[in-house]
Amino acid sequence: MIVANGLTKRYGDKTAVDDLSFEVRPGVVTGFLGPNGAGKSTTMRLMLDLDYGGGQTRFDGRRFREIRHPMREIGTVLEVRAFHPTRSARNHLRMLAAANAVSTRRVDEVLALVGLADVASMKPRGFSLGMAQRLGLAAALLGDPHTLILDEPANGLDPHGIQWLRDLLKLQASQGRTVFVSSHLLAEMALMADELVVVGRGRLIASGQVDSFVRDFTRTSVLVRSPQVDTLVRTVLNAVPTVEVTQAPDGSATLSGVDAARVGELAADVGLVLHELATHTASLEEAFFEATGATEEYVGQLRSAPETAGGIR
Amino acid sequence: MTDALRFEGLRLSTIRSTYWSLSLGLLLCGLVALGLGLDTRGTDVGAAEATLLLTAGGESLPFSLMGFAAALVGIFATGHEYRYGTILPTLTAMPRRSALLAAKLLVVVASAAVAAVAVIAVCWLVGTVTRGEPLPLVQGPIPAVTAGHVVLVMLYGLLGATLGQLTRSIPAAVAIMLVTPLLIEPVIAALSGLSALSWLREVVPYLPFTAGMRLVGAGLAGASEGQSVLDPFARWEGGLVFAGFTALLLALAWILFERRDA
Repeated sequence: MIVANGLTKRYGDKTAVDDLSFEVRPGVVTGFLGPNGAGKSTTMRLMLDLDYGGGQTRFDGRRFREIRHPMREIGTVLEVRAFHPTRSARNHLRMLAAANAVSTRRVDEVLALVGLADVASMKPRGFSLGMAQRLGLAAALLGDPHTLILDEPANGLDPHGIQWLRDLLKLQASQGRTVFVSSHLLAEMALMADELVVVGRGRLIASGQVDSFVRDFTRTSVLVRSPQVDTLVRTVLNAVPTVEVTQAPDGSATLSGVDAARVGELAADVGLVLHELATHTASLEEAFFEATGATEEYVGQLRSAPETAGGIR
Repeated sequence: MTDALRFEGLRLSTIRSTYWSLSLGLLLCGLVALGLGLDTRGTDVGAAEATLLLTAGGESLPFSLMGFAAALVGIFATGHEYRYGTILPTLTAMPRRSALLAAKLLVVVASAAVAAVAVIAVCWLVGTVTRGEPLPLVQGPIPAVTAGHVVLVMLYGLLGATLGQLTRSIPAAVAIMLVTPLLIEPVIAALSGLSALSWLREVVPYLPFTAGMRLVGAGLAGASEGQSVLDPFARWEGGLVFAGFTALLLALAWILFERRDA
């Protein structure tokens, strides 16, 4: 169990992490989401006492620096290429193992587990991003820890690697371990995470189950397609004035704030023909954008502004 | 602490830079001994001259050759952590920073001591072979100079690790280790000869590298053993000045390492 309480980090006038508190439970994969610059990496560094700031994080009641052999309790990946380019992968792990009284046999085990056994004696200078990521994961798993803290571990992995990582983390969680993983791959996080901690501009936006987050930050919408779509929209708005309508030129409309059954009933009442009536459930990505849109730190200039008029966009 | 020492021992022994730094130092020292041996072949050398052979130049050089190699090992011990970002896995493996830094310093100093003794052995061998007769080892100032040489190389290693930690930059630490004894201190010593800047004569003895070189002084440049005209300190007092300078920087580096973000 990880309990982060009041984490705060300031760089001059800029507050990178602002009084952030959350809990990460064992037995589930907890995703750590936020836009670029939201303070995810800084938060992880604060949690591990790598950076100094306000607040504290306790791992089963203890600060990280109080743990004598931390790798046997908490495995971490924070930077992809955090190794000396001419020290072999095996020696890199042997060195970390020595600091935590982990056997050399375990070094070979984790190298095999992450698929690097064949390149164990190679210098990692020529490792691809994916291989470097696997070496980082091997280090995290070295002490067979009950807690994993991983910053963007899927970066650089190919689709098979990502699936392997997902299965690995789910397996770790199913064994009762605590898994806290940040990622900007929302589709991947939707498949991997059971719970979420979402931050924006260093502040907590939401925490809890993925389904709850999606429900809280999106509205289920209904897609209708009809040759008499204008009449249908007017009928629905008359019956349910709070509905938000987005009409497309192809004769379809997306209605938010009403369910498909109600729309079908209203169409039937006035004898309208429907070519399509479908419920659209929001994705994690849509919920993420809804939740963090206002907190995005770095915004590109290519996005066009949506047109909005009254209740109809 | 034992875990930290094991970690640091493996860290040092599993990178090539440790071996090339020390090998290069040993090679340069051997070449200096070779040159001095050939130069003095067929002539009698006193104990003071023998110290130059045994310490690869000793007090005749502005800085210690093997000391610089040991400093490189020290600089890499701390500087590599920041150059390659390994400070993150290192501190997540060993979050007790003081234990980690202490282990780094101990391993560097121990390596420097071994390297310093190896220099004496190699230089004795080279000197003996080139001169065709065994070099003395226990005459006059030789035991004190060789002991001073070992202490000097250890202090260089310690200073290198300190500068690597303080600057978090390998190029900056190397530059300080080279520029200070080869440029800054000689310039200050030279300026002290000007009448307008004669007050610098009071400062010169306290220049750390200049003072440190007293550790390998054999009385060749001055009136008495271990002293030169510009440097009134005797061997161990000079060493103490250099050690004090190193300790001061080390204390600063240590405090910053404990307080700064990784």
